[in-house]
Amino acid sequence: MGNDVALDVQELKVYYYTYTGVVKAVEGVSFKLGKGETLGLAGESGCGKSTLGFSLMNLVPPPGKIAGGHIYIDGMDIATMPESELRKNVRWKKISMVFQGAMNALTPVYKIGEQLAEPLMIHKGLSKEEAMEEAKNILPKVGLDPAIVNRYPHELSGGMKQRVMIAMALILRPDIVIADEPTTALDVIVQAQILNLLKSLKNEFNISLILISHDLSIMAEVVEKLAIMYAGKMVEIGSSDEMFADPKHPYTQGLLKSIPKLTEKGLHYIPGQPPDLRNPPSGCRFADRCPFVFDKCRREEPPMLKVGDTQYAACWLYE
Amino acid sequence: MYGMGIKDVVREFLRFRGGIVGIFLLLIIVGMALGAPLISDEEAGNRWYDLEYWVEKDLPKGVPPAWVGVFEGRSYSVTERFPGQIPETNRFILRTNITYNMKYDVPPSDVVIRVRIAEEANISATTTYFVRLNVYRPDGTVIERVLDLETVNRDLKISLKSEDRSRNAIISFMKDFDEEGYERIINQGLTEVIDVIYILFSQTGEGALLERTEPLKGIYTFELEIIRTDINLELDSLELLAMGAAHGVFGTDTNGRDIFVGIVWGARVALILGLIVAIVSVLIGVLYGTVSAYLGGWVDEILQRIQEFAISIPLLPLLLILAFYFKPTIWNLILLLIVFSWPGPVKTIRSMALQIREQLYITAAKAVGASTGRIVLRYIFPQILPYTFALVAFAVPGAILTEAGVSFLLGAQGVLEITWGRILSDAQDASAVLTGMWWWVLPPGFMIAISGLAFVLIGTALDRVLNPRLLR
Amino acid sequence: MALVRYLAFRVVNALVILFFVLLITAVMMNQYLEDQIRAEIRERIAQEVYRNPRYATYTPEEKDRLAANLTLRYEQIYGLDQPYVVRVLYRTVDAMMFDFGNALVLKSSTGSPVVSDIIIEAIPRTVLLFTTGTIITIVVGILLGIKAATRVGSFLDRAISTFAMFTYSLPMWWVGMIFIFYFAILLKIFPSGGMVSIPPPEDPVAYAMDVLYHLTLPLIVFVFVNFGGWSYATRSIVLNVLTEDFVNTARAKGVPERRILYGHVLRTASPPIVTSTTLAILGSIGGAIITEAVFNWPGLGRLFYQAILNGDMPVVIGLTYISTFLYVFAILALDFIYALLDPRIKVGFGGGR
Repeated sequence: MGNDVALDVQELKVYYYTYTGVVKAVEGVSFKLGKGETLGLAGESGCGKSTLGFSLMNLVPPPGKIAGGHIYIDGMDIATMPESELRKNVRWKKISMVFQGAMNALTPVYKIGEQLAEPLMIHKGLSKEEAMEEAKNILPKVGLDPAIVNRYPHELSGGMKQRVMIAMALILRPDIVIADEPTTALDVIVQAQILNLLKSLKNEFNISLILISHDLSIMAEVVEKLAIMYAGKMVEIGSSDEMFADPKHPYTQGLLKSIPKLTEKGLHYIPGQPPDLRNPPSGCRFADRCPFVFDKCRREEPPMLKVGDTQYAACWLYE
Repeated sequence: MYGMGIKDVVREFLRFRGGIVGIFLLLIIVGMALGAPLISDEEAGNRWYDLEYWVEKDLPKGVPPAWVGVFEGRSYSVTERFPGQIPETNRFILRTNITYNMKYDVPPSDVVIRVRIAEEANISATTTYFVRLNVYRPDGTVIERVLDLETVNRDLKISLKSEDRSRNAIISFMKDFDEEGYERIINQGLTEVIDVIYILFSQTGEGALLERTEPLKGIYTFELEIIRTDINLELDSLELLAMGAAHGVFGTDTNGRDIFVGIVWGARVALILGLIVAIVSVLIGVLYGTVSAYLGGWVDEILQRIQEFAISIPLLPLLLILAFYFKPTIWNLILLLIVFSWPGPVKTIRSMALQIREQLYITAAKAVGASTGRIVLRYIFPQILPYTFALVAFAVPGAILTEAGVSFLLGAQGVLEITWGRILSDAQDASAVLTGMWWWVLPPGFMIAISGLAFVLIGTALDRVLNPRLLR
Repeated sequence: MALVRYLAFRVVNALVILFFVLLITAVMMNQYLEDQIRAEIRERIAQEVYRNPRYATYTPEEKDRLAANLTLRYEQIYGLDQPYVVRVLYRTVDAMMFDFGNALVLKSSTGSPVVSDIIIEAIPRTVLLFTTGTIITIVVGILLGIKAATRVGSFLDRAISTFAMFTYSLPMWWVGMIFIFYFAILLKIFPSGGMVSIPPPEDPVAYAMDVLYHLTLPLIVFVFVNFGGWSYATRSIVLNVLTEDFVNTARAKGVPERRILYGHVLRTASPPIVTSTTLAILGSIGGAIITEAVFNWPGLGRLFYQAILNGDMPVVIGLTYISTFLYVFAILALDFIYALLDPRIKVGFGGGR
């Protein structure tokens, strides 16, 4: 593992073992995240991006489990690490997550300060007073008044809660931060504020950031590298410049075309539905909806093929 | 719930094992309630509190169920009647022998002598006669003067167990064989309490008076003497009753009532009361909550305060005091229970109704000009209706339990019908628990629990099938 | 402060309820007392007029007139001539001061026939049984409920759910009868009733142990019948909370499972658990009353039973009022606890800037 690689994911598989069948939510995904790099993970609902995000901390909720592959952080394989070690050494210390704060990600019965102090007390052994001091110090960095340490979550607005989530994710100075839909359910102005905050914090704290969202427009603002997921597989990855300028995979093209433009008339969309992940089709998973589909697509799954400088696409068109 | 027809509901319901068990139990209870006149005779049910009727029936008093013997591997004596031969004679002493073969592991619970004097015009009603009884036991011993009394009673029925003199005669007899035992019972004052009939039929020896010896099986001869003072006094019939040591499905109570009859007839009150209280009170509560939620504003506020007031009144003390002041009938009780129960479901229903109210189609209906009543009844209520079925099911056990509790406490001062609670009240008054009459205590309570359980199971299954996901 | 406002509201509510109950009690007491007094007056008149040899020579009309006058005099003495409202008001004041007159039949253990003495003596005994039982039930119920929620579908979980359903319709007092039969009569491990042995031990420590010994069986019955409901409610609510996002957040932060469960989850689940079980607790009071009668435990329940059996009206009236008083007080206490547990009530609904 190179010294400038923060995260190395190899052939990761995450399955949900449900009563109605095994849902193969993530099927053989591989990518690398460089130190200080920002990676965007985009795709429609149910494509597996959130599951992928959770799996990086081995936090997939049951009945989900990591079914195969490796996740290397700092030389350690997260995928096979026992729970106790993960809890002590990895979670929040090396890698943390910003959940959708606008929802129920904060415990309603504990004060903000207590929730910020919690990881400090658990992982760094600080006393409650010391931890609260730390909490008060970090709040201005996300643009919040330190006095809110005594408030309860229900007293804050959605944007404020999101900032708290960000502060909480950074409080142990982790190497990697995953932001899962950080701007969903926020209004546009607050969205912009949060994105700017993420950008400046990324530089200040020197973290590698993974931004997960279905909203491609915010990706353009923040990420250097962009990966597109569909039906549990990664279909295209590359620098965001390359991707936005010249998307190669038909799905990426369709996604970008779907973003409504002021100058164009009419709405584009990709017809059809994603496949049932309990019974994924053989061959390319996008075949049924692809406008360029041909024979081989239905028979064999395309591997990642180099289509640009740093751009790879999983499509037989580029064989 | 949308689009679920009755058939779908039934099919879904049957998927839950608990629901099936619940229906099964319910059917048993309904069967009891409906079949009461058939299973046990109608008269017995209607005359449960008419003790005279039960005296006539000559059932043994306070005995366990007939099947106990099977489990214990012992044979329990059954009730047997032995008519006595009335001697044809002109003498003043009429003597007859009645033989009884005591072949059981558990001897009779009592021996009853019945003497009927014929109606005769020229004998004054105050003419007395004497009754004497000697008992010849199979081991050759004799107990003399077990009965020795003078009476004018034309229809005489004597229970040896209850006659002090008989008791003393038997005790005196056994004293010679068990001096230690005699000392013991005298010192501890147990002469009123020991089972003299068991001693009558048990082997002599140490501990006989403490009922520690085995029963003496064999032929017993009861030598009965009627000594008349007027030659014209004629006997109509003589009879000896050996009261069984066990009887029936659930045994008998201390008044000689067949507890099975009580249990079967008690099902009626339980079901009727439970269902009526549950259905009416839930309907009231649901309507109350729905209307309160829909009208909103200060009407809602006031209605909620009223409900909170109503729900804060402790049920039992008030029920007892009211029942005490005004003699309760079963219908009064039902009414009272409804009055105390309707506030229960209001809060939950209200929050459901509030959610429904925010739906767009309600606004649409209002825009079209539908009246409040129409909106509530045609749009909101039908959505809540499926949930109310589960509520009704869950309300029934509470009603049955409350009635049982009130009847238990009030006993004879409570409602007049047979209810399981009242049977338990009688049991408590007769110290059934302390004297070990488990057959009197277990069945009524068990029935209360089972009926409650049936509805809980049905309610849980209904809830899983019908509960709209509005609250999730 | 929102908390103060909420509590003030609940206190006012409680006072209103108490006032109404007070009124009803006063009316009943008044009715009862006046019936007594009138009967007494009638008896007096009969003695002093109709049976008095002094007036034997009077004509019936003269006697009647004399009787009427005397009756009026007596009514004045006893205050029966005052308007109804005033009379009821006096009773209300009496009731507020817990003055219910004297009992007809019953006496306190010190021999006093004063109703409030009798009742006050019984209160701590009921509190001992009921409160201890409730606390144990809560602890056992919640612990089991949490265990069941964390092992959904396991044997323990299904057993708890089935057990809860089964005990929902069990009459507590009947279970008491059965337990007495089995443990006290058959096995002879526990006493069959009462609070102390006869004669009670002199030494205070031995006395306390004796009370504890007598307390055990009714306590077991109480917990046995009640903890199922608590477990089930806790399990359902905790299950719901476990699916909330903040649980995942806590896990991601590396918080140990125990702290997540007993800290984040349980604290959040407490307000709805309190709500859903408040009604159950208050409902179990009725059963507890009857259970006291079964166990001959000399508390309020048995007192009620005895008073009714003996037709001792003043005691019944006094008991109804006091038990309602305690009941309302208990509800208020629960409201208070709920407010403390739920920060949305404690701090009020903010909304942020």
